Amino acid sequence: MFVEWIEDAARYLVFESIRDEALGDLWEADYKRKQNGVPKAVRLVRALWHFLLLVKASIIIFFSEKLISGSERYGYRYLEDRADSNYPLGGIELTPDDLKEIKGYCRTRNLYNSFLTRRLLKSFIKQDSYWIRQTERIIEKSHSKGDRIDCEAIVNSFVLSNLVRQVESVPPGDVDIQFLDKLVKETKLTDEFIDRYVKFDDKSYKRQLIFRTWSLAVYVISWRPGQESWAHHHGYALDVIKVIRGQMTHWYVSAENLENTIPFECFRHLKKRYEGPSQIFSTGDTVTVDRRQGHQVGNVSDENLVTLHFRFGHPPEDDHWRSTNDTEMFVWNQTEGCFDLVRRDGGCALTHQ
Amino acid sequence: MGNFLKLTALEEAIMLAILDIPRYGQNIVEVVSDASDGNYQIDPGTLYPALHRLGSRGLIKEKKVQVGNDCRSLKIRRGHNRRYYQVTPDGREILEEIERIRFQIRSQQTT
Repeated sequence: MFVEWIEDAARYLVFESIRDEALGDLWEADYKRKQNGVPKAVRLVRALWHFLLLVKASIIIFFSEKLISGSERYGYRYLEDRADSNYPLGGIELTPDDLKEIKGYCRTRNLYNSFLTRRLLKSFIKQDSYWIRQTERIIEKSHSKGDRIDCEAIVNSFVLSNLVRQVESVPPGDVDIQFLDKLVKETKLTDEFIDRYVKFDDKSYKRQLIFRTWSLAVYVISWRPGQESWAHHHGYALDVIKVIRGQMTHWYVSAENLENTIPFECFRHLKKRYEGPSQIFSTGDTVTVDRRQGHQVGNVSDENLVTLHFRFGHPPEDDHWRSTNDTEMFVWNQTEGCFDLVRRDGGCALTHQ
Repeated sequence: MGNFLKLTALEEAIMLAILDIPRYGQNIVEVVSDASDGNYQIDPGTLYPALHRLGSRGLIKEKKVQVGNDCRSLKIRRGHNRRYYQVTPDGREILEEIERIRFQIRSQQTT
């Protein structure tokens, strides 16, 4: 009776955004009191008081929502809503304007110190911007190591960081090929940056890692004319392929043939070429390869082909990787990885020493 | 950074409670209470507005978790879900910045 009364009253008096969790917490606290042998009458009074405090909380939240205008808020969205929204970072959205500001800041910072740079760009950048602060931290780190400021690397690492955080904002099981494809289409790396990872090999196509986290690997594959992969599938990994330059020929292998004819990518001894119908993709196009989707990629044109791959799940394990040296991994290790994915210790501390 | 650094003692306590481990409302109350030997009790009237405020500022993120798979929890909570909160990278940065300022102030007082 009492429970029903509280539940009914909550429908009208407790703000909807907190109602479910708050009532659950109320009953959980009540259960603990019961376990501790608190008399029923005291429990009733405490539960009633708890309920009145929820009404107070609702009033506060109601007025704060009314008083705080949209422009003053930080774009917060609930985690479960993010997959469908344009708010990937739960508070820090990387916009094209931010990228322009970062580039401008970097270039000016190449010439002047931070104080003068901020003074000079006073009207052009948001002084308290999260991205400008992060940029400055990377620049300080570069300077402390005697490196020059690599604007291209900084800007592109922010773009990649944006992608990583969006991917990791939803449970791994909820990441599907449509979601990954949407994120990849929004991830615009510059050609100058991608070109750093392009290297052709006359013997076979070569893969160059840009960065890798526990769930995501981004890499570039360089294809000479005539080079192609065997038919394969990626197991339970997802793959989105973007054509950066040239013409890519792509074959989807129908699912009914998968188990018997199309090997998992690691089984190099089962090399098979698929001869079915193919599709041609050119610069800017993306192709998605779902979990356990058989496919084959090749460059049957007369020009070199460069493709950018976004792999969610295990990265490919074969002999097509080019070794990665420290210079090429600069972007992730020295910039984003330092302040975003790794705690500020182990040599990554910048301003907190 | 200015206004971005403004955190009340209550907000800071909440953020510290969920710095490394995601927790739900009642759990946050218990952790803060235990840490202060029962001296600091957060009541629901201030907890939820504070969580709401921190969320609006992007300092914490939340995730609704259905307790449907756990019959005992479901019964205890009378069918209501839990919502887990955790500090975002931005929130962590603010806490570290506050700690750094405190450290510097303390160092200046001792020299």
